[in-house]
Amino acid sequence: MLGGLRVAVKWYFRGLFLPSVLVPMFLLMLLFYGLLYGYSLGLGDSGERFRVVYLVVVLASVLLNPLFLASGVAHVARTRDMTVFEVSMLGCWVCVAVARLAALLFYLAPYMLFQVVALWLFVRGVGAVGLEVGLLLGLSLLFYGGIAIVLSLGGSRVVAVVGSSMLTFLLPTSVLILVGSLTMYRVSSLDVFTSAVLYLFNAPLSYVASYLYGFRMAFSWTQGALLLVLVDVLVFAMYVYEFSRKQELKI
Amino acid sequence: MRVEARGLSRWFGGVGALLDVDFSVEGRRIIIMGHNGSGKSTLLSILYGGLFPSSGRLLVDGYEPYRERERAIRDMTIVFERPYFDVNARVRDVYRVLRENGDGDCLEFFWDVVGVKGLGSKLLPDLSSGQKQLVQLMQGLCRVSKIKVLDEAFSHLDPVNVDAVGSYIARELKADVVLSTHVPEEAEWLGEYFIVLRDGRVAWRGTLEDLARENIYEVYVRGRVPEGLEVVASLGYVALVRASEDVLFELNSRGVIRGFRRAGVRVYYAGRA
Repeated sequence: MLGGLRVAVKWYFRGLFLPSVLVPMFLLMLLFYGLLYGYSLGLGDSGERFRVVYLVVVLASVLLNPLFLASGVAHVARTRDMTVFEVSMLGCWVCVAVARLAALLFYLAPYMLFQVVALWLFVRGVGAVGLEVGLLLGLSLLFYGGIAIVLSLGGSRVVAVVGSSMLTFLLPTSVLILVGSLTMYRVSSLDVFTSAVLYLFNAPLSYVASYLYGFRMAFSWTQGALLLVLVDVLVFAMYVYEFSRKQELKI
Repeated sequence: MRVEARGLSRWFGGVGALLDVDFSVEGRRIIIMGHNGSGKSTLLSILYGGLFPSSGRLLVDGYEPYRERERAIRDMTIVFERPYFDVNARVRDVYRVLRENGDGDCLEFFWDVVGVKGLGSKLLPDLSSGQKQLVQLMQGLCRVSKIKVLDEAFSHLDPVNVDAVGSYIARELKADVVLSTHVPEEAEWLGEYFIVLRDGRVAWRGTLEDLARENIYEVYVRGRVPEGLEVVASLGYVALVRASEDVLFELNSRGVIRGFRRAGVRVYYAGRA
């Protein structure tokens, strides 16, 4: 199994970081972050500077996350034919599933790391908040990565890429709208279910919005992060199980 | 290899692809034949563990491959008819993987003798259909496994490559083979045991020796089948007839027919039942 996994990981990591895809995306990201950084330098106290974190999170949620996720999913989502070919060549169902998952996570890792560092730079004067938001951003992206990899079970790259980028855009945007409504109606505290939904769909925005607008979530950011970790692990395990035991691939 | 089907059925929506299929076969070269839509690919998909039956069971060497998929995929490699590669990899990338988990002699045969090496730098999606099938065959035959599942694996190859790969399978391949094909001559070249499917059911199964006992011949006719011959099926310029070899020899020497040979699995493929 381990030998097969090593070969499978090598196969999926080949061509993972294509300069023609990554260079434009990182340039776009640097441009947006550069603009926001310039904006943050003109802000005064820590409370004001924290507002830029909100902008970062909104930007990441509705633009950068769907873009990065779509390009990552495009690499690991394969047609049914290709999947049969790969499973046959690599000789191991579980190895193929785990290698695809590993490739997607490895692909997203530099982007997530960049977000954490950028946020830390923006809010150096506000304790560990930047790191907390950065961590939640990463975990949130993993959640959508899980959804994307599950969608790839359908055997269509187009469905996986379009479906996952749409969900990665629409669900966080719905939280943006919901948070706006909560603020408008001056809601002061949220129940467990609403808090869980907010953390799942857009953890960093929910956290930052509650910090900025003063409504209390039913659990702390660490509990929210734990919820995301648990759901991520569950989704990844379900994917591996579904792929290796249940997925039907007719030749 | 021993393959057993017991009441095997598979439905897609309301359409039955396999209907209560029963057989038990032991052999090193098993051929599945049948018309388009007869259930060949469905049977092979269940055989390698990629599909689940709607009812019944299929056993390969005593286990159900769709229930033990890891074991099945270790034991089997798959080559299918229309490979659609949508991956940013080159032929040499496939070769590199196979160097780690494949058979060296087989790889050398495909890479150097068949000439896949010449395609090494090409991206998989850029290959022609025949070249894709060669890469598939390299994968399916060279990755170490006990059973090779080949679904119309030669359909896009030119005759030279069919000869090269077919001869390799016939003479040198150590693994067992389950092959589906539409070409009776190809089946008889490579097969030991034949299963002919029609509309999801087993129309006939047996060996060439079983067929030989029936005195059925393929006769190459001029215009129409000579009177006095019992026609089993007519396939354009070839007629399947039941007759003695002496009669056909005499008709041939008189120029009434243009030749004949003992009929193979074409008899059942043509629709005789």
